[in-house]
Amino acid sequence: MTRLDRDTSGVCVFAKTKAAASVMGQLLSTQKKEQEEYKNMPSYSFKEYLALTEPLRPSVARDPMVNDGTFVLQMIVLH
Amino acid sequence: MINKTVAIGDEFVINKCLAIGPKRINAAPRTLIMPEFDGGKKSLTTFHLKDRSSEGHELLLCTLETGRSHQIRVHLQSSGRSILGDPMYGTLLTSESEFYNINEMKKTELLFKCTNGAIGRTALHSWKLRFAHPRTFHEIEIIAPPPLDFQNACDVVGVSLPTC
Repeated sequence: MTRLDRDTSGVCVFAKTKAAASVMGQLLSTQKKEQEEYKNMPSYSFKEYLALTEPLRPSVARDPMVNDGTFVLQMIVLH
Repeated sequence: MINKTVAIGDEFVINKCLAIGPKRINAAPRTLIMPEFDGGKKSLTTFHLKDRSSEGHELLLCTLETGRSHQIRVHLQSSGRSILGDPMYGTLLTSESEFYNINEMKKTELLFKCTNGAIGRTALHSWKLRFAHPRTFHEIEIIAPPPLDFQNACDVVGVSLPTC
């Protein structure tokens, strides 16, 4: 019912039955900003992650469009 | 773009739509999630800066307001803060196609090298999950303490983990 990206760690929730998977899947995919008054609703979920980052590089935030040679080649072919 | 320095204890929000980018050749995964594409889905993450090392590494508490694929990784990359050891959205010392064609042990070794010995994987940890039980509505909180390799990475770069 919850997914973790490859090579990350932490909480992962599994269901024993299809019914439980359906209910919990809906619950866990509903995020608080997607509900208008989440505090008054009986169902809600919060997910918190810890991320350790590289030093801030304001001018070199990687642009995937230019950093992957394969993709650039593909764009040239398409255009 | 949130690429300015944030003070420890401060929060910032990244609100950028995410969409699946074009397929790539010889690289896995073959698609890349990209910010600010036409037709992207609304994506919002709140970041709370917990600590910063003398070299500028940051430990961030990330709260998902929406749940898109690679949301935290792309939002951080778009702000100039790639996650340590992230081969897709971080800094690699080799080309991506080369990276995805080597075995798991070599990948780990390479990521250790890229992170100066801090960690051999993406330094992202799903820490807490809280929800109301669907039948009883009692609040359930599940906490997974950061594993040893994550703790070690924090020690190596010089940031302190928050307590529960």
